[in-house]
Amino acid sequence: MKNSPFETPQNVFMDVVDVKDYVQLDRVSSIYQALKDSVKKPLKMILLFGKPGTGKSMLLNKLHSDLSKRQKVVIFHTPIIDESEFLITLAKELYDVEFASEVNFTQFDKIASRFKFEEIPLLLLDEAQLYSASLMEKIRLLSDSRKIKFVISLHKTEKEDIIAKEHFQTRIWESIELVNATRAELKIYIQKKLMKANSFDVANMFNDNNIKTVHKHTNGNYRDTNKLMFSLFQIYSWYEENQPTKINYASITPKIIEMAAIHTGLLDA
Amino acid sequence: MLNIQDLERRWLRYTIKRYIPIVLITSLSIILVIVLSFVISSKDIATNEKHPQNLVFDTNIKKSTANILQNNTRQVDKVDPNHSQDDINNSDTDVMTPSMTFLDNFDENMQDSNNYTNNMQNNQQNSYNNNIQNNQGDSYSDTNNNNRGYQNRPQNNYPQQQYQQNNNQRVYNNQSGYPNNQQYGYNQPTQTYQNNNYNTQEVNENSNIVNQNEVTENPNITIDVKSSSNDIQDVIKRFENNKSPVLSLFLAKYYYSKGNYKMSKSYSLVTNELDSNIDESWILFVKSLMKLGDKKKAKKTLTSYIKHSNSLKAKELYKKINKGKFK
Repeated sequence: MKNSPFETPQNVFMDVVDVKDYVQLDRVSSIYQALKDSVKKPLKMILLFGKPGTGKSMLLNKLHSDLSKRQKVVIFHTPIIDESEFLITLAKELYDVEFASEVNFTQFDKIASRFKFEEIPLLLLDEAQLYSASLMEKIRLLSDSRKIKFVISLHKTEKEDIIAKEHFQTRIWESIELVNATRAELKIYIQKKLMKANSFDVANMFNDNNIKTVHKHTNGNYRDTNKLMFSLFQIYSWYEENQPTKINYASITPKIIEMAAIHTGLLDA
Repeated sequence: MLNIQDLERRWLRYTIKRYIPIVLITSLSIILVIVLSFVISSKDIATNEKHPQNLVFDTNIKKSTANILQNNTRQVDKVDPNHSQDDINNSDTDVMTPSMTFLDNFDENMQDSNNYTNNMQNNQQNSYNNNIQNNQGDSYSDTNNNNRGYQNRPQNNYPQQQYQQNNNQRVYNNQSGYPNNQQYGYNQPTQTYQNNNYNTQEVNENSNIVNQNEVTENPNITIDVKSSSNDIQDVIKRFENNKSPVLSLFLAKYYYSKGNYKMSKSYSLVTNELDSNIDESWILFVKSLMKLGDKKKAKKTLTSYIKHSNSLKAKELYKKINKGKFK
């Protein structure tokens, strides 16, 4: 199994948000550039929204990775529900100040006033829809004080729209929406990912019909695609080890794509 | 953990589920098409039955005559000239299939001197045909002998027309023994038959129009219309196109009846090649050989055929030939 040509591709599609796995697609690149430009502007808050799996976390990670070289950037991958803990963590990350006990908003504001930066520090909040309304209010106040700039990412649902409306409507100067990949984009995404991992033979196995089938099951959602592809190569690895005669190395078998879709729950069977 | 067997099973179930609607829709479509075509063809048949102008070669002359004889009263309809003209024009598009049973009469006519039609033809006084022929040039008989016959049997509101082929003549045979035209009540003006294959036939005002009056005694009228040379050419053309053994057998019979035994031999041979199981064709071939004087070959062929088919007709013919009864 170690020598299986499908092992590396399988790992490539593991659902982990890693900046190294960022795939440059035309539309994503332009969105990313827009995001970078917005950050440079004197905006208080930038909203990044879209359905789950459209690449919001990846963009935040990429932004963090790129901007951290020249300015203070903090990213919260998972929400910190408790207000005091949120402020303590923020003080530690931004100002390197540690608090022994609980901190309230006023105490934090005092600390923040003591530090001056060439560029306003940037706080990237992923999954912002999970923050409480009270904490969101504090975030709004912090952005109003212009001591911290925020890029918040949240899922686009009805509920989250309300949050956005209530707390950020007047403060959001820029909102960027991420959407699922088109079939052409998905093809580039899959092939670029495979080629990055030097799996050229496997990349060549994907024809337009295969991409069409994958897109049909995932609707171009990057997370679902990653799951499907991971499962696909997992099945291929199994066949490689147990029934290699069943593998067609010229192209990906639609049956195996469908089996992978069934395995990942994308297809109800 | 991957369970490939389970995955394959689920995939198979999914595939079957996916194709069920397609199979159902396809099956339903096929059934729908079959039902529709059946309904349409039924309608066509019903329409054809409603239209009296559909021309049919009636091959069973005896049967039709007998039917007429059974009726004591018959009405001979006046033939509407416009209607008839339309019918004949329409008949250009009708496919007229030669009937083989009719052709049985050829043989019988050839061999049986008691043939009713021939009697009628020979009977100058009782034959309507001859009445017409004698009627100073205005006749149903075609002067070129390119004839077809029809039997005008009025039933309901339309005269039923039956076309019968025989002996390459067109003759109105009066089997009822009517002495003259007056008894038929022929008093209407002319009617013209015309199409691509037939010469225009003008019906004489004084002699040839059939009155609508009821004929109350011996109304059996048999009209024998003989196929013209054009008809035969048409059949030959059709045969060349579709190579149907039915048509070649028809031609063989036709030529045999005409005494052209060389041609009848050729066509029966062709028929045998197309379908080696037609009794009639083999018998006709042997008869043609006999007529051409090749008795040895005829007997040899017949023997081989009897061995092959055990045909009773062939055996009977063999006996006849042996006894010298076949002429």
